Amino acid sequence: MNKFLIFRTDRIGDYIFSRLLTEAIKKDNPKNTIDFVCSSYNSKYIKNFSDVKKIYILDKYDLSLMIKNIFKINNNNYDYLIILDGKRRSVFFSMFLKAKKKFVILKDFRPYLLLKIFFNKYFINSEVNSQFNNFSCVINYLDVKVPTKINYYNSYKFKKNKFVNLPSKFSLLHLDEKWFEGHYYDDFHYMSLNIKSFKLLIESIIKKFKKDIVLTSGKINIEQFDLIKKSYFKKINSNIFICKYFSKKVFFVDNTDFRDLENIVKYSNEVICCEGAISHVSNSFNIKTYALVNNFKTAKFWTSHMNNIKLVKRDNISNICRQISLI
Amino acid sequence: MKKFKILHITDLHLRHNGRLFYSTGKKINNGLILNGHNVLNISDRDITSQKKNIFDLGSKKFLLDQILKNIDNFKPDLILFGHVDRLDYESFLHIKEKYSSIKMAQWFLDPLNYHGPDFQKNKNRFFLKYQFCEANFVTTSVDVLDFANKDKTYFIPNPIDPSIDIYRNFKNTTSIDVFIAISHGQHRGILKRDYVDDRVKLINKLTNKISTNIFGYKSNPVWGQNFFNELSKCSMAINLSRGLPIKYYSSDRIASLMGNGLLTFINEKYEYNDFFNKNEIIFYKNINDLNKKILYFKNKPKLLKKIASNGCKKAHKIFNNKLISDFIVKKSMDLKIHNNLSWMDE
Repeated sequence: MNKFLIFRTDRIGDYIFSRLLTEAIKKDNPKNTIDFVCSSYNSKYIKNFSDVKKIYILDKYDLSLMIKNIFKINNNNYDYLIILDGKRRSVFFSMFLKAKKKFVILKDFRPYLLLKIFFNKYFINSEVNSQFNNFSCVINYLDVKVPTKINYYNSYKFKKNKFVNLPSKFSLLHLDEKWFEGHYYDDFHYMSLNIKSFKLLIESIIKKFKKDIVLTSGKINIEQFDLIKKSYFKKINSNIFICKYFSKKVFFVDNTDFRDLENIVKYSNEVICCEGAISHVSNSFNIKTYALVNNFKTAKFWTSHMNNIKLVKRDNISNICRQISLI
Repeated sequence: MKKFKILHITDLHLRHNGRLFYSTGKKINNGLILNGHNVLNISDRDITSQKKNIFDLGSKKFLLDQILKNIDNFKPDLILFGHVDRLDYESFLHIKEKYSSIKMAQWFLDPLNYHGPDFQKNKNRFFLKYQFCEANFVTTSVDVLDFANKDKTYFIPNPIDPSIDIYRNFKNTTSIDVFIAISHGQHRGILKRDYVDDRVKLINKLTNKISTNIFGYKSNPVWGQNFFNELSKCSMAINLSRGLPIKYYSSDRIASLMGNGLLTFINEKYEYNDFFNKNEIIFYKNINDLNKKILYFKNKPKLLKKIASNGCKKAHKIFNNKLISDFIVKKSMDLKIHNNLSWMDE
């Protein structure tokens, strides 16, 4: 039996991918214990996984919290400390932590001298390999068998599904901030989604899948999306809106957190979204997914292990509709 | 057959002055050339042994620099690594990032046996390149390697080279019954002091009713042409590898034993019955079975020669270096394999 401490202080989507490690470690020996260092935001999500024993919070450079946790962590005599987020603060913090073996995955921040002094092994999260392969590599150095497939939800307690009124069969269209210019990476191609092109998108999805559509959004308020909402949708209860302009019904589910979205994805028949946490969730449920990506090479880095995903190049809405219709 | 430019980086043993002219690296290299590829060699260990520098311990920087210059000038389609343990993680990453369009592959001959010698060390050596290579070739069955992805890891047998393995002992009257050669590492060349492994236990239990020509136990191993001269004196050979048997793994010596026409005895747990039948190689269960079978064939010289001849012919046919090199190139370049032999599916 070994004790593992894993750093994952970034986003939920990144944590989800780390389930590859957690699953492998637990499968190797169910007595292995896994604790996480994460942000307070992520901790609310991670606590729903029964195979994670303890959670330590590391928010930015909160020195008092760091010092408090140093003593707690060092009393646990960890066998392995693994930094998956590659963050400067994680590397800095872990220098003061005790563990028999310390591994770190890094991206651009590569303090070679510190790595040689404080870590047993470091890996570069390079796109020459897929993320799945990079993580598999770390798993191999833990002497644990690499799983061939990720199941994120083996030990997960789902939130009670409060969307029982949604149709039994539906296509899920997830319109998060990644669809709208000014809310995500500047160097990405954007789809110019507006009131007019929204109509085209919905019509083509209905034509392709011949089902009702459930629409969800991210947490960020986006002006263009509010306009779409106001123009097409009518409120039917506290957080569900409906649109009846199309040949099939289109529902918009407002105010969803990530755990709500998991439930909606779970019951959908297909998912159309920008590549990210949602497409990883849908892959875990083996739901056919159409993921919008900026370039195929980078997308392969994240999706190479996914069997049921179709990549769609980010472009204007009419080209996206054309791509989806051809797949 | 499509021809490629291949940069083959492996130890060509120049510093050993011909002692290892029959190395697997050379046999694979010959196979690549015979298949018509344009092969450029870098002998990594010869380079690092010749260029000593206190500011570049192990000459790693110099080696990487040489490799990068060779790639820039040659612009290969494939870089094939044979062990190449002097490059570190950063160096492989650098090569892969800089030349992402060039395919990379490795062959790895050492045991990857959990119950064998140097498991962790060998696994790490293999894995260092595995993560950057499109294709990986090992001499252990991939079925028993739980850390390697079957989609990019393939079994290859130890190659026989018809230009090197030229002897046909079954045609001659030999003066000694059994040939056994073991070593404590071919680079080392001589035996380690006070080092005993399982192979010695078996040698000590061999029947004394036979004559033996044993090297690597009590006397130092033989190398170079002397290896073939000593081997040529014998009609039979026992193929011994370190560690507990694991599916298909064998010391590369098996290629010399079968390829030069000796009746070869191998523990059945290596599962070579997937490639050879009992009229081509002799399988034994344990030391008693081995002794019984050696004595049986000692007294049946005609049958001995017949089986040795069958084994030699079959081994030259299916473990041929041209075939193995072709398999390596085709898998690395993602091309269809036409000549499908039993080991290619493993």
